[in-house]
Amino acid sequence: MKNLPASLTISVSALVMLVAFLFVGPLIYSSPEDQDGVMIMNDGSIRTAPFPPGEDFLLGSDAAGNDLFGQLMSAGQGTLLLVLMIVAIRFVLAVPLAYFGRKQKGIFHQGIHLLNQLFSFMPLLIGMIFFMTIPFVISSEYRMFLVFIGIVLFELGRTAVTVQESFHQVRQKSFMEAPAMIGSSRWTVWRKYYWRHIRGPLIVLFCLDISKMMMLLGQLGFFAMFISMTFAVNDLGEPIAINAFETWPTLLSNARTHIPNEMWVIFWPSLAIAVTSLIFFSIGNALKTMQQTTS
Amino acid sequence: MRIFLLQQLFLWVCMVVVVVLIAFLPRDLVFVSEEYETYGIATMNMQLYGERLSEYVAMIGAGSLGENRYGTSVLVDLHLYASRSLQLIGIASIIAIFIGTAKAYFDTRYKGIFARSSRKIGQGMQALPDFFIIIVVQMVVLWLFRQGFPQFSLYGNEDLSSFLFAAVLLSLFPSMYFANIVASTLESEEGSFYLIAAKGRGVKKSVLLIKHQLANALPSIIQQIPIMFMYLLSNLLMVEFLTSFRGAMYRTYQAMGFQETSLESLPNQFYIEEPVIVVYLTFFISLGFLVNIGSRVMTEIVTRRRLS
Repeated sequence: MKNLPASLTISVSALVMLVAFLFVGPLIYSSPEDQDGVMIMNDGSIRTAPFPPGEDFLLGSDAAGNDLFGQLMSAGQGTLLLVLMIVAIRFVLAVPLAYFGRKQKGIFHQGIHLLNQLFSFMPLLIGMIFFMTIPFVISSEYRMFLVFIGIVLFELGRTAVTVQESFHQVRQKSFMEAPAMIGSSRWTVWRKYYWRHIRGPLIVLFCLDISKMMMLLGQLGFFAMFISMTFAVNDLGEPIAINAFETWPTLLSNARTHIPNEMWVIFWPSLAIAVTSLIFFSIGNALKTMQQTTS
Repeated sequence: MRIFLLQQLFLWVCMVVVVVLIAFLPRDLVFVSEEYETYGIATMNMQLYGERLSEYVAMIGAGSLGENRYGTSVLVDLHLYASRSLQLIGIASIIAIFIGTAKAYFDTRYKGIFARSSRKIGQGMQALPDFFIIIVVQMVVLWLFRQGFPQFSLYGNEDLSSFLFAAVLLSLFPSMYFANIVASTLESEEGSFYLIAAKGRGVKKSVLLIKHQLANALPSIIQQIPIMFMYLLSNLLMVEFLTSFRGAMYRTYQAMGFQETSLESLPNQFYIEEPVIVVYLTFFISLGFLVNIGSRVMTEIVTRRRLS
């Protein structure tokens, strides 16, 4: 492992720092006390939440007077987990589909291309919102599962087509004649010929997809499309939606009430999303350049 | 080409049918509270679903696409909002293509520190979420206002300045995307024999880039335009939402009934306007369809001209 490019070292260490910060941080840092959204100052004046960044709250507070810094740290783990899970499921589905379609003909080839073209008409964001507002999806016990399926399916075609392309490229290399000549089993061909060449580009694609998925989840957060939610009744007896799984995007759900005077409330969560997205993007990019220079 | 057109038309019909089928699902959501828990219950009533669908089909058969919640025709509604959004898209696309090409030219023409860092920044900007960029730009502009910069209107869609502001915000992401595509396709041409020959004859580098490299790379650039357009449409919703621009995307979101939802409250009543949803989504799908076909036709023309 010599001659690692500097960009890779920097981005991977940034990722390690981020993960350490999100997993160790909440253990050390204790949020300032929740003051029910009202603070009485020493000179007797009263201030109401959201409080700007300052001495009391490092990054300010949200509209309910909760410390943003603490919330960002505690929500980070869930966010990373969620994104990793969605992208991983998509790849688990896309790679076999792409493998079976590697000859660029047959039913799998047709299927993934149809999927890809079908969804290439629909703008991703509004399409996802349309899906998530279906009444059965809203009220289902398995909402989280359904939303997962929706997000996975929406971009499955694109991922599968990209992976299929790399399978096809490997297939056309002259070294692929060797296993055919000596009569290797399919399993050996997959393990020793395809997988070895495909895993590099797959990791790159995985990192870039994580970056894109962070963006999509963030966008959905603005529109109060929660991945998982439960219902409750407020004091007036009206049904209200409660977000059941704290992630960075859910901190953005009241964005419009904070524009333009309380921008920090939405700035910090979106900065967290942007930084994570950028880290994965640069890891992917650095790996890509590394692979290009070695091959 | 004919097969391609038929295939695209088939996909278009499929998408519209799917949109209609989903939009007219029975949307009665009942909330039931038991002790400390509340459930939302949506019941699937096939009979009701069938009635709603046949009603809609009958209405279309009678030559009407339906009404919005105020009782005006959906087409009037569409005309009002879509024309605003189309203007926005048009201006943003022009800015994106112009700036993208200029930036790509600069990045490939020069090899100095500025060009290299401009390339890196362009790539990095693509990784940043669009809403983050919008928020930062807004914060910077608001800070400038506080420093005594002449103020202009940022929000809404009535003033020219807020309109242009939204257009500029919308064009940021696509221009970076476009610049990256153009730059990488230009670079892929490098090292070809015709370039070496031309260089040997002393052709200026700028002439080489524009007249030869760009002309040769044009088909693969045009092929990428539909993807860029889809990004632009997704961005459009974000821009319209964050600048309170009353455009077609925002109207679609509004029609889905979740507009005022937030962490604290559900809307008391879901105002779901099914005809509006169908017409607007069809509008966006058709835009994607047209851009797809347009890009294909353009590629064909450009390739043919190059070969002849």
